[in-house]
Amino acid sequence: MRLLGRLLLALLTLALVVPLSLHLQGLLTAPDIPPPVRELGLDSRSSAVYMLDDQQWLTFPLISQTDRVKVLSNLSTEPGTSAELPLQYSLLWQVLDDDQQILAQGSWTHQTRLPPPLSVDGQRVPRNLYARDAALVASAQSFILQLDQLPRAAYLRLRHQSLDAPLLGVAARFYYEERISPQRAAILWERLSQQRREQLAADVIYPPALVLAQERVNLLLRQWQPAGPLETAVPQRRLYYVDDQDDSRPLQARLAGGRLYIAPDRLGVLPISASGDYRLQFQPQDDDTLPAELTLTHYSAQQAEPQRSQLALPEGQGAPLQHIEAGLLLVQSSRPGWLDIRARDDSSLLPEPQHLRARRIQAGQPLRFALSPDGQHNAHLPLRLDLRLWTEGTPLPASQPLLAHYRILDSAGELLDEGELHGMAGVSLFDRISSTPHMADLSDPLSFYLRLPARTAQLEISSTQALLASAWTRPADLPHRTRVPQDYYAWLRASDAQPGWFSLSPPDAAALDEALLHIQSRPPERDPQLLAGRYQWQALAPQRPARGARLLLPVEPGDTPRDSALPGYFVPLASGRQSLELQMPGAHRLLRPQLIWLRDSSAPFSLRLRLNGHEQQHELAGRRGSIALPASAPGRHRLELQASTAGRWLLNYRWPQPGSYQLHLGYALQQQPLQFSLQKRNGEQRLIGARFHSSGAAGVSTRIRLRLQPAGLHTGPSHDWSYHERIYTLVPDAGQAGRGYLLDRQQGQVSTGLPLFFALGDDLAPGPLQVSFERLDGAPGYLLLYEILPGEHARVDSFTEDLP
Amino acid sequence: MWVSRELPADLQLRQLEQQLGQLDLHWGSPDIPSIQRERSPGGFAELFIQPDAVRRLLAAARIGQVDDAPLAVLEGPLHAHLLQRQQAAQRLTRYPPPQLEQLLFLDNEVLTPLLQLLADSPDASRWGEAEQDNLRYLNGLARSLGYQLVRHQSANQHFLLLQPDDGQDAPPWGIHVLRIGSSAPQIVEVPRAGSELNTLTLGIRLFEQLQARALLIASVAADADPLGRADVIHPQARHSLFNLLHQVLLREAGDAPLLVSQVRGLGQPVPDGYGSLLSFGNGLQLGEHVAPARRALLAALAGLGLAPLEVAGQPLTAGYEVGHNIQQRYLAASRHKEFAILWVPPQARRAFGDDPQSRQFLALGIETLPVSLAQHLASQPLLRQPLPAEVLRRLQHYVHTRDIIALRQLQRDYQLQRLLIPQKDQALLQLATAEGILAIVNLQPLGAELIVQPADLPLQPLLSRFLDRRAFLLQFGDAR
Repeated sequence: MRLLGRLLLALLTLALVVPLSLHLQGLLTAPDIPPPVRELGLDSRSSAVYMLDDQQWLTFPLISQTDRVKVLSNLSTEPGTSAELPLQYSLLWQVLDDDQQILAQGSWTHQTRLPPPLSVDGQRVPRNLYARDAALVASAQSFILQLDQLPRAAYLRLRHQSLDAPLLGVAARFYYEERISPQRAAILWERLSQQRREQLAADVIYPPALVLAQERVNLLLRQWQPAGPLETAVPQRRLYYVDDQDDSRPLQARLAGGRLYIAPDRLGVLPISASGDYRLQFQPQDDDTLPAELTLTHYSAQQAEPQRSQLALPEGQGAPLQHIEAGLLLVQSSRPGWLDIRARDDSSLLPEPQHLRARRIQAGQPLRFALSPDGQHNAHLPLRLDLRLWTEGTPLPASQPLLAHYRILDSAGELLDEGELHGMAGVSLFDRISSTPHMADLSDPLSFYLRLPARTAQLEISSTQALLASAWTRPADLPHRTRVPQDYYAWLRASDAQPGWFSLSPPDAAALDEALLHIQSRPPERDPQLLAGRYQWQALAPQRPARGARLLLPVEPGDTPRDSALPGYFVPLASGRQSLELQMPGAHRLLRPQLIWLRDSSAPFSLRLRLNGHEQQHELAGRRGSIALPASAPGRHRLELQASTAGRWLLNYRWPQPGSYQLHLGYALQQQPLQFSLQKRNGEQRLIGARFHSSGAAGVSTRIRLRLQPAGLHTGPSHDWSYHERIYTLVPDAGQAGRGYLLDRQQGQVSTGLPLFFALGDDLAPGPLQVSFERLDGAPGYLLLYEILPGEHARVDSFTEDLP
Repeated sequence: MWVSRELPADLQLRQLEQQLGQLDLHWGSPDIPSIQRERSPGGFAELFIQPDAVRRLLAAARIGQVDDAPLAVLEGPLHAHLLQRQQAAQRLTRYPPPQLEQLLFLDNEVLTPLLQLLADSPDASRWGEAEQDNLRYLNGLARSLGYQLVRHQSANQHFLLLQPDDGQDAPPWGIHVLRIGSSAPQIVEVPRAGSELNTLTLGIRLFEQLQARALLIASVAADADPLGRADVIHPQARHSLFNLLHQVLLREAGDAPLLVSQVRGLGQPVPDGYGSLLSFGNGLQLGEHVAPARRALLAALAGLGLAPLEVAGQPLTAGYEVGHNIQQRYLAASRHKEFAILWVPPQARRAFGDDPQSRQFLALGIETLPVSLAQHLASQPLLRQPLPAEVLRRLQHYVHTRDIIALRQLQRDYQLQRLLIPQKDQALLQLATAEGILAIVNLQPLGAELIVQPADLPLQPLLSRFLDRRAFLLQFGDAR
């Protein structure tokens, strides 16, 4: 009975299919081919599809006891629907037996998108289209049902759930799996056209001629066969798929290739940890036959000013090998594209991408961070909040105000404090959203620092702007540790460097509420006034008791003294008769030059000096020391120097030459801490720096603790953060150790200056500020604390540390 | 071969037969007209080549000098070796795809004989000189393409690794592991180890948990090649070593069932407390019976704390069907094979990754010790005390937010130590007092499970459960 039923059904289907196929042939005639396909002569394929309904079921017979069925569907949407939007629709399905009893049922929700249109001869052609319909057709989606455990299955029926605008309708195709015997399959292959063989074997790694017999049989054993529905009055249409003519370009644009995206408005930052020969490679994003130009800016620890150069890449080719010193290389390109840098052995030097997860804030969607559930201990807990503007694909203006509101809540949700966070945010030249590096839609972060009140349990940030936020905490009692110099510079920093701040994750959220940022190191910032040499350098004296010493320190290449500093510079003087010029621009008074000697022996010696005919005879002793010369007017003088010993002679009031020294007063940092008393004034920028000259040999470390004791603290929000306790580990290398002298001692050498950078930010209340330096362990040495007053004056590094 | 009249003068029949495998010689002419045959005055032969022989001929064309250096033998945890190799491969930004004839050569001359050898001699401890010779020869052939065979053994498990050669500029075609000896009919594939965070660690764990036959890893980032040829699941990347191994393993398994699982990264959390999403290429199975291989996969995933939600058309799983995956599509050329994709959400993948917060421990001076957890706990007194509620809250706060303040607060009352379990690739936090260990916390747990050892039960089975499931907390006593 059942067999008979199936036979009748098959006949019925046949009766339907024959006129249907005639009808289809009619559809294939020229007038019904979609105009763009016909006019542009595009290669296309087409299939008959059945329009589903949200009320009426469409029923497909399950022919020949099939094990599996497949339902393919295409959603259509109103013209003008965005191709960016993911579109969802649901199909309802039921498997029925011969008596129309439901054996299984369910729904299948598909997610699809409108495929990006093809561009042919300047005309945009949809990839999927109907002949006479402007509706947009999304990519096909499918689901498969395995029916082998439902032997009574006889029908599958389908409808879609109701659709809301802009969704218009769903077209479906139905396939069942047909099986043939292995014997028949083996013969069938030989009868197939080459094109059909290629289609079948498309997913085998080899071309059809090399496909193994066993694979050929398997490919033919099971075939998906299309079938039509039982219902006769089903709206049926023909869906065209335009074959992609050239699929490589969109793919190329999509793929970063593990390289760094750069553009005129996005700089690439390349930390070069060791000097060497490197090759820059650049692949333009669009047309790689046009020339490109790279602008390189190189920062190093030695150079006062970054070095700029241009690199022309004809036809987008890689540059030749060039020598690059250790430092930070900033690369800007004239056209967007992908950057790589390779060593001589072709290994890539691109830095590991640094990623940062940030959470979205937008109107009506505040963000809450939970703080450690230990309210009473949270008083003055430091918290840093980084906010960025994010316009999601729309270019961000160069600078734009950023405004957010914060609320600090206790565990019961009661408000403890609230306020505004605002500032001007500029579009970032460095950071981008990881997945869309070509879009300049992200600002640099504005950092806000808060000291949280006691009982804080939650921090809520809200804004009417679209922002990305990340939060950071640090234990208030944790000293900030810095190794000098490697932790200062991005190109030297090791992965075990201690960050100043530690990220605080918000609760887990859906991907849409989160963005992954690709962030880069920043070049060291230098105050333009400082670079121009326009500043006052003022040494600061510690409170008593402190022991000072005159340090004779080598002048580094590139140091150019300001005019008024010439008395402190000592320039080599040769033995014998010579003519020299004593200089002091702007000075009309007599100068009192000083002569310093440096010898290896401490035995007594005699020194005869003849300045402009006036002779002085000195009987001296010791390895080092100084004597004053007669007062002389600025200008050219004749000098004769004769000594009974070999040694180095240095004279001041002259422009430095190689081998020159500088004299500074340093304070011994031994057992007792050095205390300095400063005044923190409101809104005033003070650049305070310290240098340590170690008495230890190369490789011997010194740990120094710095403590700031301000008159009071701002609870915030502030834009700066001053670490109250810092521990520096300073290790002079062979090029630094023992290069300076203690002038007033016959023994003892010191290293060149090892910098201790620290900030006095706007989080410190105005008033007296105590700064103390304490040597925790390691080699003793001498400390100089100085203040730089921008305005008029030699180069000093002002330094902004990279935040973690 | 059809020979009319006589053999052509210079034809080396024996050599030809060696290269083709078998040669059937017919004297006479085939029924196909040929103007060359008719006009040739001397000997004339026509060779009709079967596809299999073409493969032999093409593959043999590559065989050059074979040096049969002995196979390197590695010991230690497999995952440590694979992760180290991966780190090196991950930074490669150049991907020269293999040529078809290179793949054909590897297939015919290396992989197919290698799988045959592993099927014929499954017990590596009984391998004699013949097997060793054979492996050396296959290694020599692989090395002509910049690849090498390496033996790896750890804890009574033996593996053969096919990996880029150390000694030369080897192509970055991934690293692939074959289990020697009995294995489950399962293959684990990690197609985007280079771009989907921690999917490799997860794949290795699943390979171990399933006792699977093979583990295939595409090492370089999927976008390493601008033409998309490094993205091994994409139809444009059909010619990859990863895809070749997939096809050869399925083909050589014949009609026996085999389940291939690909481990992929999901970009968002999984709904309803499930650990992962699992979609099957064969579609939704209607009916009660679940195939044994599917059952084994589900059990293994539950054991790893990743109990999956099957993709069956739910609105929340839309878009995570198997889709146009080239490995899935090869199943049409095979029999009784199944294909699944395991989608693992970010939080679970983080649980299988390095502890990103190691700098917090360094900053707070909390010591880090690599240990075997069982031995470590056996050597210390364990405190059977309930954990104060606020301490538990602080720990929960820490694992959710990574807030260093919580660690600093715990540090005031307890001795903290970070324990690294190299065998399981996990980082734990130990809370102790001067009297002994109070609790062990997984720093990247999957879920919030608390495991408390009842006083009368041995610790060992609980330790395995704690580590395998990546549970949140382990305590030794009644926590009430």
